[in-house]
Amino acid sequence: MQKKQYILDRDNEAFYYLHRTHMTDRSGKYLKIEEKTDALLFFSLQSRCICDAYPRSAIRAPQSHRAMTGVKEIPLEEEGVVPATAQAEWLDGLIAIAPVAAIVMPVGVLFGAVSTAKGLTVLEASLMSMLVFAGGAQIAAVDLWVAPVPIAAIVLSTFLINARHILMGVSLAPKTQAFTSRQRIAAFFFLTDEAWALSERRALHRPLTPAFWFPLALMVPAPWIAGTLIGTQLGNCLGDPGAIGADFAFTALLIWLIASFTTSRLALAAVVASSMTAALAHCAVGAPWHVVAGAIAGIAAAYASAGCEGTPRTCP
Amino acid sequence: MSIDSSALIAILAMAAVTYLTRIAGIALAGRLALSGRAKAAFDAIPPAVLVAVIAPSALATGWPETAAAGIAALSATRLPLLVTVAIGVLAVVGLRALAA
Repeated sequence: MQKKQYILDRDNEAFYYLHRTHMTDRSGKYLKIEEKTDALLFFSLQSRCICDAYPRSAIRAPQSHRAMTGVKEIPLEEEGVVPATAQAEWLDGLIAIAPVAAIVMPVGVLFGAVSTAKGLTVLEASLMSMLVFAGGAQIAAVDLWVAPVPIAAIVLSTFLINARHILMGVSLAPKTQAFTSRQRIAAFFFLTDEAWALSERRALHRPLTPAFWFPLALMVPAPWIAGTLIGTQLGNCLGDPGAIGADFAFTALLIWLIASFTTSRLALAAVVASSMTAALAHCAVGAPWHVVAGAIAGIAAAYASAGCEGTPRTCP
Repeated sequence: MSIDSSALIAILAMAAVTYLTRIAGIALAGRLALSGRAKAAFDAIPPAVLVAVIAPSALATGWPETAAAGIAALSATRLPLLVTVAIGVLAVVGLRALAA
């Protein structure tokens, strides 16, 4: 195999795929990488940054990394380089999502039962779960559902409740460098709170791969749709969901996800500001504005408590 | 199994705007080059958005829900997801029984 030399640009946070390499120079801004074999791996040059490598000719045009076709990714394992197969990736994804799927299913049953009680047909409720699969927005839509269907109100409410996806996408998109454009557009069709949150956690340690994302992301709508179908059959035989605490399962699930993100003082400041603002906004203005208000307050709190270097202030 | 046209339109429109919110981030992400405080604010998006979603049910429903959310938050720092959900659900059932 022909020996090639790559250069790593530490300033660019995108990540690239290299043929098996070793670093020949750690001192300068650029690291030279020599291609050794055709096995593929990632390099982590900084703790939170999977740095990139690309042919010398591509230095001035980083986008041309996509021209490096025929490569497959093997994520790094911290410092040591442990190859991960596609099989290991999707298995990791399924293991991560399994407890979430186990919770989404009963909530889907709940949704199905509530929506038939509200007068939706089985087909309407199932179709909504198949095409929308956004719990909060669907529950709000069913809440608004009367005859004739208030289309404008339902669509506006759906947009506002799901507007958080825009922020999630902005945050997640740069972490999907391992996806082709088509894969990314397909992948984001399945963007849900849970898939996004688990993938963000994954991205703290490893690059995201399509093999990890797709099985994980699909295992949110799948139990949701299955649950809806069961729920519509059960109808209102389920009784009062509050009596068995089922309505709180979703809240507890999200609390666990939030806790896993709250690892810094900045994140804690954001959580406190956002929760207070959202609760007040919910009482004062009502859903779905509390999500917008809380998110803005939380982001502002993190901005305010960060120093100019993006680190928490050490003195008041 | 039936569906009327306005219900179908509503569901299709819901799906369309939802997918729009899902892919909008791809188009917007490339235009954001963040550093310093802006980066810190950006990194706070995940917990800030998630907590805003649950704040009304956790904080503004009643004291049993608020207390159960606190218990769930405590267990979330140490215990696995399913255990945390089980504790949260049991706590809310127990506390609601006390409140009733």
